[in-house]
Amino acid sequence: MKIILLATIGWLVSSARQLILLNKCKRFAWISVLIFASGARANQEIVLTFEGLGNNQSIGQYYNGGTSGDGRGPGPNYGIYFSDNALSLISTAAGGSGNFGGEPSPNTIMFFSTGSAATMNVPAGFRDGFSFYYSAPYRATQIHVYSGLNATGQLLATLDLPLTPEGPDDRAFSPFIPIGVSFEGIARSVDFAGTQNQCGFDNITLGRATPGGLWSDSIDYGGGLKWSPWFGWYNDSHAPWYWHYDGMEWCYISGGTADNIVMWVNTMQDWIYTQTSWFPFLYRFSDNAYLWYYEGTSEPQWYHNYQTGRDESFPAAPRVLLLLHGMNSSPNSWNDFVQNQFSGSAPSIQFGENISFYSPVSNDHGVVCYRVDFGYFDDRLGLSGVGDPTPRTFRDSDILEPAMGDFTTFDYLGLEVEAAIHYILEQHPGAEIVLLGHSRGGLAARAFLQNSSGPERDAVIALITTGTPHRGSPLGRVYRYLEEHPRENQHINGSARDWQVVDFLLEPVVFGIIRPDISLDVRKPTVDHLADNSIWISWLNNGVNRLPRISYGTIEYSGHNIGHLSRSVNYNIFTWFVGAPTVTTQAQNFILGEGNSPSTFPGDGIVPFNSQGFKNLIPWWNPSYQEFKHVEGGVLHIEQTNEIEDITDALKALVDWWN
Amino acid sequence: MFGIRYRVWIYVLLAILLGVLLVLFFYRDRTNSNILKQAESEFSLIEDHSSKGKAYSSSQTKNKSDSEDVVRHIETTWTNPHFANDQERSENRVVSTAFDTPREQRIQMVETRRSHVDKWRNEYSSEVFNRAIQLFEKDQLSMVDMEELNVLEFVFPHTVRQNSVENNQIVFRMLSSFLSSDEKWALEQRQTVLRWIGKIQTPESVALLLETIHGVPDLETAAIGQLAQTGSDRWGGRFQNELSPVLENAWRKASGAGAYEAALAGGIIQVGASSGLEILIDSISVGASSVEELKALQRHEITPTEAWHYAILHLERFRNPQGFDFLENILMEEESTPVERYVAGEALSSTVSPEAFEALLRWAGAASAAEAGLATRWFSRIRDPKSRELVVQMISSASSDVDTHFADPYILNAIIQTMNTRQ
Repeated sequence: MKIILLATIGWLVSSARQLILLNKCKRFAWISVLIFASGARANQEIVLTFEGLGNNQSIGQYYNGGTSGDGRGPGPNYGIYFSDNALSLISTAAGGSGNFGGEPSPNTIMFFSTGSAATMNVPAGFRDGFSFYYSAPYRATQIHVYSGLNATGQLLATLDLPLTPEGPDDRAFSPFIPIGVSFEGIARSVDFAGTQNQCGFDNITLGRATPGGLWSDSIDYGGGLKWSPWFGWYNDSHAPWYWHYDGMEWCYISGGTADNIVMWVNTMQDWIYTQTSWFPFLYRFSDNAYLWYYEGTSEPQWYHNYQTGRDESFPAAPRVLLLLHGMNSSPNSWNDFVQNQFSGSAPSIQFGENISFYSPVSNDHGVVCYRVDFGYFDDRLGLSGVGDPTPRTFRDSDILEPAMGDFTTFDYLGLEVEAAIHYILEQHPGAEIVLLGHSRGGLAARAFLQNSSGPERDAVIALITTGTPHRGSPLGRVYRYLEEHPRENQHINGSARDWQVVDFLLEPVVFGIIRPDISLDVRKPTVDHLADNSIWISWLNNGVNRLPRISYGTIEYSGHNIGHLSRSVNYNIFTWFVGAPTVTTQAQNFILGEGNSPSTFPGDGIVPFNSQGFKNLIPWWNPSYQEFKHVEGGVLHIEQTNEIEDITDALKALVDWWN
Repeated sequence: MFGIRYRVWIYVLLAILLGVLLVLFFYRDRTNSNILKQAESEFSLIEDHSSKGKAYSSSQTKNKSDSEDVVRHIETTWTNPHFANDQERSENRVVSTAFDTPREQRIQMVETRRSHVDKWRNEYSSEVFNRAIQLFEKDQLSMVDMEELNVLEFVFPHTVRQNSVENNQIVFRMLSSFLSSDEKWALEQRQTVLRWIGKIQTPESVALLLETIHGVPDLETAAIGQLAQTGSDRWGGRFQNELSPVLENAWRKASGAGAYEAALAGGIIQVGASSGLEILIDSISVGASSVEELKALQRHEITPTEAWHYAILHLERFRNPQGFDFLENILMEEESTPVERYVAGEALSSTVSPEAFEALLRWAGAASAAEAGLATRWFSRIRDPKSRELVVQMISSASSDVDTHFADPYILNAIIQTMNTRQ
């Protein structure tokens, strides 16, 4: 008990903050009171259930921290030992030879088959009362309580046991009747006298006149159906396996007392500890977690974990990772991550429809993966790019790739995330979902989280972004520059070279070689939306207070100046380069600001480093935010989805089930 | 006396508080009503497209009335651009967003669209394509038509893959005829269909792309673009080895050194079958004079002028685990040339697979000190935790008995140093 009390104090300290945040103080205080209250009582009361002992075997020193006649043990060290003729007996229903049933703690009782009495010795003594359950349908029995060992000293109490009703043939010794006696002074031995093999005893309770035990207050409705004040409705027909009708389903409970219940919860696949006065408050041994079982929940059972501050379900909620690609990209940008972490299995979802037509296979962490295929609204919103290209004319180009969300505003991208989650919840009811967004994908996730409501939003437990321009990127200003310096007047407005850069980025050929890694169409409207001064970035950041209280992580990269697009070709649109055009000073000043250079905005070449996190944006009441900064190595923007180690590090840090 | 006055004040304060709460409640209710009215007025502005919707309710539509409802719903929900871009810009704020539409309506859109998908996903591919042709024949596509075309776009490749080769013979004849009918069908429509074909990723569809490249001049570039995508969409999450023979045959016949050869090389490597790797490595082996030449190509110091150059440039796209054994054999065989070994190592180290790095470790065990540079180059490419964990575990166990595991301890040191410097 001391250990439990110490653990409780530790838990009091460590969990207090979480509990206050969770507004569960009342429950917590109530539980604490119960813990201490029950602890005080336990010092005086001992219940012997004989569970764990063998069939027809001497009990001996089992309750003295020693072993029984057949070597079982060591048992609990209560300082109690029995005369050699005191035997344990298992019922026939449980595979033993005992002709009894209805015992208060199935399946083992005490009896004696030789001599005229069995004796229980308690050298340290006990006071106040003594009680037990018994069954004696044929011969009357008498109990004597003495102040000395081995039935010596002063006789403190005598208890005559009347005959009990006779049960059916296969369990004639049933039911078991509770009985007890109060006395004054200190008792050190009890003599169970009478006819050998004619009386069975169970739940022998020292310290009070009514017998204790888990099931002592249960009401029997027949057929194994019972109701317990602490456990609720249950069936003990297969004891020690108990079927809990109130949601916990199969539980294994062998022995135990009101203050010491160790239970295997089959659905949870774990051992837990509780007391009759605690339940449904539980302690889980495997991870030292204190849990609260939400009574009545089943399939899944729900528990509140005070250590993590989160609710858990058993069977565990389906775990889903949803990947969100960025601009100028596609679901295939996740191919390496998916291949490495999910053996290639991650269907694409386009506006709530699985367009890959297969079901994902879970990985080692029991997680399934999907990826959003953005772009459903590209044709529908009527947006056109600078110079009037439309999604359709883009598709008519030789590139032939759909616009992938590049003609869609952030709110509609958020809608696509919502639709994907709606589909996922249909396939995996009750799923916990982690969103992983690259670049603009992270903003789509935020647009969804900040504006949606309902089960789709509630299902998300974490958002991780990598290379996401939470504060936009100055590079996005190129769109507005092009609008203000149209191609038609390029020779008048001095933007001829800038339009060369635009065309070059559409089909970048350096020294006669096509460089797809620097292919970027800056005429698309999404470029405008991603500018650091865009109304859409403002819209997102003005609504940051609406983010739900989940875990957030941002993976941030530095090592490259803004405008650096390719590793294979050391090309920066702002810096003079042989074999490829660069923008005019006029454009550079418009994009980066007067007096600024590319090195003013270090980052991943497209998104400045200080824009990839949102530490100063996230509300103070939402502390579950971690930054994962990588200033070494110089990972470029388009390489970030392949940085699998960085992504899995963030997943491990933020999501329990990734560990 | 004081107690009574105190109570009176409490009652007065409570009355004021109640009044404030009531005012707030009614104000909120009124604001909500305004929002709802605004939403209603936005929808009421939308053009009635029910007449266009009838076009969708053709003889193929089994459940006419239901479909019309679906059509109407789509029209009234999404046809109107939800904001005026100019207005937002002038006011420098977002005026309204997609989330102004109630959630139920948003979700219903998803489910409505599903009814389109369910309608077509189990049909014969020829039926699906026939429907597409009906839509192409229209002078102008309504939003409903576009919605259906969008569904057909991803359902069509699925239906082709679902049907047997025999059943697909009809549809491939239709597709071939469609692509070459430049007088009947606009370039845009044929390019759209070409994109659908590119998504199918069966030997027959790849063969059709090749046929188009060689037989339909105005689609040549677009078809090459699709060919280059071969192997990047992994149906069912698996690598499509069956596509390799078609590409290999084309590679054998290719005689130029342009976009077509680049697309073939890219396709073969993305598919990653061992037979495809073999044919490319043979080409490289015949063409390349030294490892330095290959490195110069990779550094873009040499402009590609031969087909095998593209094979080198695309090596980093290799991922298929079914090619690992073949590449490891090249690495380990004594007869292999340095060029062949280099190509095999480059391909293996491009993957994100622990098995590939396991193979490279076996190579490293037999490698000489002169190859330490390659070891550093290849092991520095590890980007995933599984590969790193495996390599670290193997080199730590090897460190205790270097002689047994490594022919040259210098190689082990090179790998250890690389692993210690996670980039």
